[in-house]
Amino acid sequence: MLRIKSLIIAAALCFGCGVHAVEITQTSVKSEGKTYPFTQGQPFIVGETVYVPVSEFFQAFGYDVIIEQGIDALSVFGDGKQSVILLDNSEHIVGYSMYRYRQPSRFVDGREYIPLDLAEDICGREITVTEPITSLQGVVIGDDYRISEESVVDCGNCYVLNREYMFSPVTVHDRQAEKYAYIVNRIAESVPEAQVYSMLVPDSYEIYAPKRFYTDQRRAFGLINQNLSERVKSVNTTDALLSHANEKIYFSTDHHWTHRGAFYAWEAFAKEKGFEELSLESFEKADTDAFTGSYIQRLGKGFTAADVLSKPTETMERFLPQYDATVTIYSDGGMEKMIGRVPLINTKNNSYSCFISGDHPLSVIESSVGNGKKLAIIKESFGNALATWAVNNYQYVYVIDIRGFSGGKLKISDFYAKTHFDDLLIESYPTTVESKELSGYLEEMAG
Amino acid sequence: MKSKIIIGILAFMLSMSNVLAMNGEEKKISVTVNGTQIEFEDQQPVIINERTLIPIRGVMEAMGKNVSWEAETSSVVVSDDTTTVKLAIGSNVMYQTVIDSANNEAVSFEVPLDTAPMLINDRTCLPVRAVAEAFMATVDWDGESQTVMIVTADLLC
Repeated sequence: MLRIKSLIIAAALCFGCGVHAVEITQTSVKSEGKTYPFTQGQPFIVGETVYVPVSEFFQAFGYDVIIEQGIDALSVFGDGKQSVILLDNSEHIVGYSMYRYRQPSRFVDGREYIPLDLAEDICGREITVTEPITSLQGVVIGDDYRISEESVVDCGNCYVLNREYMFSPVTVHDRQAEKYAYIVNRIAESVPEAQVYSMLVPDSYEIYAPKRFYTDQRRAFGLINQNLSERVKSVNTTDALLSHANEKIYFSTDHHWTHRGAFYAWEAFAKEKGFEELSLESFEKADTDAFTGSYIQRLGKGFTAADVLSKPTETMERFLPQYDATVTIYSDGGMEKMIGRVPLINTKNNSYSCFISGDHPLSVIESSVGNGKKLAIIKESFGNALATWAVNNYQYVYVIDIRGFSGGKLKISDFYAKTHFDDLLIESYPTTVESKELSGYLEEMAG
Repeated sequence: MKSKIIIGILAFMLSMSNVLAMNGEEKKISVTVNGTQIEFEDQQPVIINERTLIPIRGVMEAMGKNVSWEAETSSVVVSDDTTTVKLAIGSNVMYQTVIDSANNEAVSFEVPLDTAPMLINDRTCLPVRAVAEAFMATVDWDGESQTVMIVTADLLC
């Protein structure tokens, strides 16, 4: 009798263990023996992260999803608890506490999606993916150059892979990508006499980091480009860089591209303009093995370079200009308040700041190329290395840092009236696009 | 005896099958009022739109304020002898009334909020900085310990 009782209890308990299992496929979610089709949004994968549509997924558990007024969030009510999904965010409230997730929620084609690990935590059930899920978009950056993962250390502000490669993932959300395109269009409208170009630079981890960190910036760039007005030409920097991904086009301990990487981007722009091709091999070089990168300063508290890196410095190539160039720094757009003069490339400086001496409100470069052409570059720091290549094709290069004129102190239309530049190149990397603060500085320049 | 052990193990496995380890990394936020840590019995403080929202009752009472709920407007009212603030769930406006000590007249005004109050797990969570500063308390944030530190006006020199 006791044996039968034990068997019955064991069977009941085994059944109890399986009752919360959830399976998802490309087209449905299955829970407690019932199948609920995804009729509107379907799951997709970005890198190695599966995303599920919020409303349809939680319907399978009888959960309610409501939009919270006054904040960018959705509340999910079910099983006696409330969870709050913060939109375009990596931190969410599950039950009574706040949790941070590796990948953020996303808004795609009018629907909110969350990563599977967050969905598991909210519904308190393990979710199994029982068939391959399609990628968010057809063309992704492939895995050809990804570094095999031996070790990853989370240093708070960045990751360190294999004690060598440092990176800090940034997801560009659809909403912010669309807003960025709108901002670029407004700037283009402000200078109808100039030709405007948009240059978007992907982060190195999209190409080199393990797939689980992939955020599909290429998708975001595609979204921006398809929303740009006809007045703006986009420069395909992603493919230009990918075609040289086996070269050192990014630093390992710094978030920037290298001088070589900036060259390939410039080459893509020059091709668009019909300029004569430059040959990298024709440039004299001043290289160093003592480059110190920006991520070293970004290590979180409790981490030192010696702890996490095999070597705290790396090599840096510097291609010396073929034309003479003077660089004058101003604190104002009217070019009345001169701060100083600096070399185009400072070979005594072994950091990224060697390029036009780093970030300043306005750096005016005059090149002995002497062709009278004028280029304005609106940039953040990626534009510094890029500007050093512009001296080969433009006599005047006006390098405007978006952070140098916050509060609307520079209007691009006023600057055009002063300088009559021929071309305007707006260069941004993903952090600028995603950051409301940084893209806001750009927006302030419109008009 | 053997069957009792088996049943015990299986029962333990059942209880564990309902408890999954969280995938997310918990962000614990603490709140102190005049140096004393506030204990939250269930809903914890959270950060939304870079503003810390806290279940309001415990903190306000530690600050010596009265807290009441106005059901018809889904609003919480926090008050002391001279100041009253009213915040509605989902509204980005805080209504403040201050008694001017010079002439005993009430002055009312609106304070815009970056983040609206929320009901989370039946707890009214308010943006702590806006409410505390309405009562002239100082609010500091210690990023290292993830602590909101409130010092009430009567303790400020």
